[in-house]
Amino acid sequence: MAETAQYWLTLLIAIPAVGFIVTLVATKTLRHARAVALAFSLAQLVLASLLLLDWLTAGGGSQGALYPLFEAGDPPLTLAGTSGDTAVEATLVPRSGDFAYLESYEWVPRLGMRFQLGVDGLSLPLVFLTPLLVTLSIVFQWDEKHRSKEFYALLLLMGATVAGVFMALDFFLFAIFWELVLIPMFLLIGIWGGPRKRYAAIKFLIYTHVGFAIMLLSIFAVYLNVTPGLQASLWARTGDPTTVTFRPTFDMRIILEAMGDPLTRGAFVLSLQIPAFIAFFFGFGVKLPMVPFHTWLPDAHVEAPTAGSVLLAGVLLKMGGYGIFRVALPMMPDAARELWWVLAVFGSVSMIYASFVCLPQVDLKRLIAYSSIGHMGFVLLGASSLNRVGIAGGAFQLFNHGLITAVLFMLAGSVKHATGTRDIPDLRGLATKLPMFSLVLIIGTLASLGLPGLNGFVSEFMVFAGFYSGPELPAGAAPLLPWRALIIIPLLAVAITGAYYLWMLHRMLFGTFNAALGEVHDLPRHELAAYLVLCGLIVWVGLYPTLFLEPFWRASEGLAGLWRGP
Amino acid sequence: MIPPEYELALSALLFCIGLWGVVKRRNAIVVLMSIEILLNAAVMNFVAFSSYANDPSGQVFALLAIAVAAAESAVGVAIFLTLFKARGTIELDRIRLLRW
Amino acid sequence: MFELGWIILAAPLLAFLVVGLFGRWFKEYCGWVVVGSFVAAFAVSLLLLVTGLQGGMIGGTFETQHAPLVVWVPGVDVDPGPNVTLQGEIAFRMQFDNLSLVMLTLVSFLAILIATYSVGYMAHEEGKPRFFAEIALFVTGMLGTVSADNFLQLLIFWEIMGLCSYLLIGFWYHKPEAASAAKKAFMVTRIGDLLFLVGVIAIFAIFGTFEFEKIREEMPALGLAGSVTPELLGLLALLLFGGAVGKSAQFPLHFWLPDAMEGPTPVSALIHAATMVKAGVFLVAKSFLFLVPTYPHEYLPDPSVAGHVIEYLVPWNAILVVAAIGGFTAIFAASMALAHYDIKRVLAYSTISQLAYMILGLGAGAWLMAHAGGDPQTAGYTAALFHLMNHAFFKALLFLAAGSVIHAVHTNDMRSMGGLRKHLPWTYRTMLIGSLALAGIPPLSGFWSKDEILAVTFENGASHPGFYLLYVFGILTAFMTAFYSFRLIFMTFHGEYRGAHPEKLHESPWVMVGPLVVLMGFSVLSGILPFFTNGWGNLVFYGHPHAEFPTEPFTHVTTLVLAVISILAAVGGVVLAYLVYDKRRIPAAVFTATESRRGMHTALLNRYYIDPAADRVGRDGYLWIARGLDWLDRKVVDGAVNGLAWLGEATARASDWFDRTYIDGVVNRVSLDTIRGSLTLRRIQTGRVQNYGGMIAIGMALLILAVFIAKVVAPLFGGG
Repeated sequence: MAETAQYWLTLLIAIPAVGFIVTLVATKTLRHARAVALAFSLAQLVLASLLLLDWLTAGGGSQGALYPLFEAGDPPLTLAGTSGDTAVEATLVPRSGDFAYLESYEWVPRLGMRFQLGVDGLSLPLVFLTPLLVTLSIVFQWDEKHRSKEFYALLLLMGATVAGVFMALDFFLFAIFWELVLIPMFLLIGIWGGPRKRYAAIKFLIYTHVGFAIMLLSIFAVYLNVTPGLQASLWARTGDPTTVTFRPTFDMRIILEAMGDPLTRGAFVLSLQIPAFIAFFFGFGVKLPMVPFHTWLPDAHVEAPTAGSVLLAGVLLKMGGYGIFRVALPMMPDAARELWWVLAVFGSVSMIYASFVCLPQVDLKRLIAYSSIGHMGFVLLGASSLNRVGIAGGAFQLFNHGLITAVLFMLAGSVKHATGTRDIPDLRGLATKLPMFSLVLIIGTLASLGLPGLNGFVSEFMVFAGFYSGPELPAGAAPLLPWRALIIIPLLAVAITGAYYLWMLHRMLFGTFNAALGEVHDLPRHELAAYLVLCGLIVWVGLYPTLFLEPFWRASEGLAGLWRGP
Repeated sequence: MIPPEYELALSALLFCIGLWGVVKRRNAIVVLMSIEILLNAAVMNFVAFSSYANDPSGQVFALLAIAVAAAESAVGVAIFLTLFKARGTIELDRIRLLRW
Repeated sequence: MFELGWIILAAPLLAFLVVGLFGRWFKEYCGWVVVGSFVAAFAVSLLLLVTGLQGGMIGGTFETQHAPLVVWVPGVDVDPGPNVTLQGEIAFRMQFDNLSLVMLTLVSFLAILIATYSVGYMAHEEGKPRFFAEIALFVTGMLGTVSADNFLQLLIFWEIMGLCSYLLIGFWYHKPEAASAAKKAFMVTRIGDLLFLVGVIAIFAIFGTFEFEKIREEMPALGLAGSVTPELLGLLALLLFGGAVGKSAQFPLHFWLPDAMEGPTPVSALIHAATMVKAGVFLVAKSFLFLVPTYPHEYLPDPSVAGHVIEYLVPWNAILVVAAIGGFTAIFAASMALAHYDIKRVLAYSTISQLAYMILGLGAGAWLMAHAGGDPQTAGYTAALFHLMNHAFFKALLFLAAGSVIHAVHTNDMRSMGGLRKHLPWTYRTMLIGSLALAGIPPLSGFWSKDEILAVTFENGASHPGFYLLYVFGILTAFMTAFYSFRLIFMTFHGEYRGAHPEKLHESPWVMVGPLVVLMGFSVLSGILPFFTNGWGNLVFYGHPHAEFPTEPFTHVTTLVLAVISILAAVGGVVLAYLVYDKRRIPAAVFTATESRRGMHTALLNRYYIDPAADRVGRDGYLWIARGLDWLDRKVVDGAVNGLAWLGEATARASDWFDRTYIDGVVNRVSLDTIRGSLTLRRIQTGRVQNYGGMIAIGMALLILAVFIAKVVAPLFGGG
């Protein structure tokens, strides 16, 4: 029922999944494996880019330059239920612009499960980012000789599963993909990792898994509570006074639709929403990660191979942020309104605490890991603002940080490759011998500390501006302005970030070269290629952010309206 | 007439002697002989009651029993011969294949 | 005509890209490419300036023009308050009004001169493409800052300048002092920038826009509605001022500038004397929007007040803060210049001090304007900006000349110099004129503007006695300025050469001396300009355009007495310097004769110990917190996680023990007993026939006995 004629979204997942199998089974040597893997991930990237192109040229709809290829239609939402003894079905046309690209198939109707994938402004750039980073990490770690085919195959599997998370529009499917993501990352850390790989991999697995388990409670809370409450209000909307009991559903579209209108929120009252919100917040927060549930990240990053780190930081962490914007905020809006300060506090603490902890680190990768934690705090801060600019800024920060952190972790890999060590005390005066490396490091660092002209500034600024403005409350509601002056606290994080990055640059690049490092060689070509793409994007987005900001901007419209009131 | 108690006592005595021999003696031939004594005791019992009850069936049974005993002795000796050939001994203590 | 404005920004930016990416292949010509781009920018700026002049800049009838650039963020619909609804995108546009046109022309002109000088200065240095590319990007930043149409754009170009300053101070990155100085500059200015950022965010939240003109238009309505109060405006102004304090090196964020002298001299001249540090002053001028709020040009509800000061919204305290910091920094920095021996550092402190004059001028000007009410009295404002222009010329001159000296003697230490006027005649002449201008000797430029600032300050004393104190600071500073600038001249150029290689002394090549001469000319001329531009006050004014605006604001507050005092102070300083350093009538040792004087001298030389203090707080304090948090993170937070893991493991082990011992134990016990039982029972199978026979017999006997008992005995007992 309600099928759409497209299968592109499934392809976005299927291509790398098939690639995973092919690479694993059909290749023998390193050269084969990487070529095949690259081909599949490029295919996924091309498809994602076409989708992006279509969306942008349509001005945010699905009738863009590649219409009718990507035409999605807007299938109405169907709800199954019983009225007395008869089975009944209700159909709803979604109120606001829904998902630009949608694929929906019946799966297990009795349990309310659909195989549903969709892309809207929020997920589109992330869906683009995923294959981009997978491709670049394949290119970057072009010479993985140890168990090559498994390595590249697992990278592709990550591309498939993470894309699945970003596109899943059914909670069951979402949960499946969410957990599936853990497997390739666990293996990547556990097999190709550093000295403490076993500890780090298991810590990562168990920690994030526990987060998920708690989230599962919420998923069921939502599952059981949202649709039953739809009854009367829904029928009132369609004009039919019959009493119907709707079956619980996992379908996110229906839940979003229901929670979007205060009239239909029904049985999912505040007292239920709050624990559900907290459980989701915990689950996503562990992934984000937010202090104090962050300690799995530094160990995971330090031990992971470079490509693994790039994907972990660049894409996996975004799942947490995505979850907040897709699930936590819109599906429990009343709880969000009450608990915004929780997000703000955790976000600010993450930003400041993590930024401080960066400075004494000896291992460069650990420093970058903590800086990642700090930057993800921005996302939480943006989400807490409950207003358009802040939400768009927070979501945009996901994308920007993905690019920036990819560069930084690649640099950690480069420096290990070039000099043999990642210890900052040993890395001195590199600018004299490694000019290209130094240039890329400066760009990455400046982007991360939010220099205007590079992409980090745009999203960070929007987060602050949005946070300070507060939610777009209905006219007459008391403003929250005095509390918002506490913005000075997270703003300190910007200063601290600048400090530790400058200190790092100062130690690593300037001054006299550390002769103990011996012969060092600058970046090899394949690493340069990856940097070129990423730095190019960083500068482009910094100078002309509209292009990638537009999708998030549209998505934030719908979100911000939730608290604006009628 | 001999009072039946005496005959019965004799047969009981013979029975016990035979039983004791069957259980206690090690040599297979002696066991066979003991079995004969047992059978004789039974026969004696039959005769005693036949005389007491004035019923000749008892004596018929006695004759039958003697005949069977003879046949059984023959078979028994044959078995023990084979046993001797197989095991080189007819000490019953030594033949314990079916033990635990 | 003004649509061509984008060239002003595009030319240096293009030069940056070209030289940055491809400079490797034409190293020797990098400098000229960049100079060429600056010439293009200057040409267009001059063209626009002339157009503006014809359009009535001097008469005050020039309307602000705009040139669109790029859309940054698509449509923003915000509702910041009950009465105001705004929409619009965040777009970049260039704004051309009196102030920006003058600044654009000034900056691009100075850029040409300094870049030309750099070609000579850097002739034998490595890394020319990198140097000139960074200079080009910097100039783009500065031009963008002064032509910005809104605060966000200003902030962005401001930060770009900060970046280039960082890169250029640390240009010789293999020198640890240079790298350190660069980091210090970036960090200290970043603190100021943060305050600036907060200010910009707050502006956005309150007004819903970043654009200067729109803010001006909304101000009256928001004031009437109560959303905007003097306290709020004061806060905004001070936040923006925070950025200015950082960038223009005012107390307490001043201590990065002297160390910034580690960079090449053209960098010091361009960035740290002529342009970037002026950006802070420019920002304060822009924040007059908040310091002296005025009604917009066309105010429909009440046309009679159009252009007048909105008196109930004036943040008096903020204005005082600005003026006070300016006044204090002036004397503070000048005092440190008295003791130093490094020629560039003396000039650095001088710059801080002169910038402070400008800030003082703006503060005093704001006070004057706000106090007088009605039509804005722009004397202080214009004096400060006039000083900005003058100072740009003579300070650049002094730095470049100092560079010429350093180029010749290969040292910065004045104690190793002396008698250089014979060997570097042109450098000497130009530097002498520059120093005269700096000291404030009429008829050179420095006198006119400095005197005007002091006059305005004095006049304000009538309405607030604090300004008298600031006036005294100003006069003392004037004295000190004259003293140290001529101390520099005498130590460097007069007397006998105290250095090592007298035979190597030579004048600098024409490519370096040429700009010096040009700047010397301007140092003289720029003082004369006001008399041709009808008061200069009309060229750079603030507020409502007036059809006729005579020299009045300019000479309005100048009284002869004050002028004489200024001149006396300046001349006094020169004379003292002459006596000490040239004629040696008074030995220099008199300054360190007594214990207290020596202590004072050391304190000055050590910059009042502020740098080590800042290091302690900034670096050590930060490290302490950071290490503490790291310990917390590793031991406590992660410890908790690992502790949980240990707990989980221990629970698992306990469960396992319990399971194995008890639960499994029962299972095992059952089986063990069964086995034991059967082990015992099987002994019955002896394998001996006789035993079996015996067992049969016994069994039979028992059976018979049982039957006997049952049948015979039991009835005897139980029957009946």
